[in-house]
Amino acid sequence: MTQFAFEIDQVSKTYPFFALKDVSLRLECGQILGFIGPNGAGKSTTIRILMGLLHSESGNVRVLGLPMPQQQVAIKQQVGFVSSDMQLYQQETVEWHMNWIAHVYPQWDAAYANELLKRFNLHQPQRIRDLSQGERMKVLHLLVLARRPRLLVLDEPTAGLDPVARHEVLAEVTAMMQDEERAVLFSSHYTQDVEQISDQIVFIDRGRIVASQDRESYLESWRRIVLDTPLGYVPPALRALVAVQQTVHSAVLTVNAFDENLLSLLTHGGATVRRVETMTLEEIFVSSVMANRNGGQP
Amino acid sequence: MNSELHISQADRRPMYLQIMEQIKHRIAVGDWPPGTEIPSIRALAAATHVSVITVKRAFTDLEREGVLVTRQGKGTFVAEQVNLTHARHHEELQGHMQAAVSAALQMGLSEAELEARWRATVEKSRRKEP
Amino acid sequence: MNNNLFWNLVLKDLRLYRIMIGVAVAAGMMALTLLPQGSIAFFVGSSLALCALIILLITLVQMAVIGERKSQTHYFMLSLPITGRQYVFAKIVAMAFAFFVPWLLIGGGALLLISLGPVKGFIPFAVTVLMYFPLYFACVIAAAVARKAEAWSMGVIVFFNIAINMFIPGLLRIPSVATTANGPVAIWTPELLLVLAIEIVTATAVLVFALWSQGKKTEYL
Repeated sequence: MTQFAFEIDQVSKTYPFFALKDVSLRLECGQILGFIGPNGAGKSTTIRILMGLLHSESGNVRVLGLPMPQQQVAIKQQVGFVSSDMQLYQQETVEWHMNWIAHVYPQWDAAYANELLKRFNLHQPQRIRDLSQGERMKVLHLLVLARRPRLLVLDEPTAGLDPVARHEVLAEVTAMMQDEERAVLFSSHYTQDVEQISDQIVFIDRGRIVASQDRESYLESWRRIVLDTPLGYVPPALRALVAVQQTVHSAVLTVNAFDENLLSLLTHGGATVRRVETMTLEEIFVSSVMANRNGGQP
Repeated sequence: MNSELHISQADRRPMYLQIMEQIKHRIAVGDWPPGTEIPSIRALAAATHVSVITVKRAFTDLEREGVLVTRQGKGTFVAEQVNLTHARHHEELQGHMQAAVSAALQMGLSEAELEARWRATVEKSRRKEP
Repeated sequence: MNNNLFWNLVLKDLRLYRIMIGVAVAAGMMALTLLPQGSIAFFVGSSLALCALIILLITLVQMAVIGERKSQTHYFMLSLPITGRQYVFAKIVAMAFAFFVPWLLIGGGALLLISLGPVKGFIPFAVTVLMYFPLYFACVIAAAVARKAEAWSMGVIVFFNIAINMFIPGLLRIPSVATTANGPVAIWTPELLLVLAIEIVTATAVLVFALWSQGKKTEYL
């Protein structure tokens, strides 16, 4: 059995106003990879290269042990892809799509499909054009989940979904992981969802991978430190210092490589530590991107 | 066996800590008596809708604390020597300490000041002992 | 190649076109009934039949090419176990069936009626006019495949629609055609044969080029 669900190795793609440069990421089977980044960072481009919809200019891609795009037919038999810009056939029904997909994929599980219909509150005779955006996303999920793919690639899967539907999708995705042979790439702006279900976090900004770590150590390495500072306090120039907000008597420092020694370095100038706070993935995300834009450390 | 635990989104503590607390709670109230096998990491992760790595971390820390025991090839079990009340007391203590820290921070005490107060309180109660 | 899926895609497209095909064939057949009823009726009927074919082609291009890009269903299709190349080829095959079956029925029916009537000399001319359509079809496919912007496909459509209005009278102006077209015997004049040859060769070349160039693509979006 292959160890990696996919391996993207030093992949590049150039466009007039944007370039993906030396992007590498890989996902072990049995894990969920949370792929985050601001709009236009290159998430969708990377995902399309992964799915063989785009050919990269350099590097190589292997999915489920097979080379992409050369073996894309065999690969796509085992991979499910849901993207928020995917559309189905407006004039056809949910049932038509289900039957069509069941025809194409022998591993279609009809019982599970019916169960998902109920859970997602969908009805077979409904026509796609009569569905809301959220309901259309649910149909896309159903069509992909019911054939039990080994790799699930989700590009903004919960966009437009109400909280119940989001909860259902996350429940199905995490339920998948009971099987160690399966894996999920989850790309989303809903950082809360990413934080909750991801085993690995990969952060992309302006076409480059900015961070790639397991979720626990990634979150552990970021802190917001509130200091009481004496007049004229200047925070030391540390690589781990991402952002500083200062008033006359206090400072809030954001660091991305936290350990206890750091605290003593920061208090060197007579400052005292008032509070050390952990950060949510959203806060880390915003901090990172803003720092990157201001020319600082990401 | 009901595997589902609950992650509170309003709780700012790391998820693995919440999971550890809930596992200990289950043990404390008797859902999972000492020596019983608890659901696998993957089963718990799926039922709670969280990442596997979070549950793994919780299990690792609980093993280190002596609350859980993993037997190679057999599964993970509640440790025989886990004292029910012991676990609950720890929970209560944690709750008290959490409240004290929150109150102190609200008042504007720095971490150094809080530590000083803490030491003073420990000293005081030690002196009270007969 | 996943044959099962390929034909599934072709059938799926044909299913989408079924109403169009039905309407075109019905309209064409009704137009054909006018052919044996005198020269004015013949003119009207043949014009209507050609109209039906042209409208069918335009609508198919609209649905297959422009509509699919707008509706974004190709993302969904490309996530299936096929290559982008197979996907485009399946679309072309479906379009070809959807157009050329009615074309054969209507065109064949027209030729049959003419051959049963007195003015058999019209047959070579009619065949040459009918063979305009494979060239038209090939050029539209090539434009759709080679260029993302709809303007190219639309441009080709506009060009061929205007050109046919000059092509038909133009053919009739050729002296050898003018003299034999209204006669009782079907005569294949060298000029007609040349035009026919040009039509067939160009259509084939354009189609082959279109299929070859889409194999070179690095994007299927």
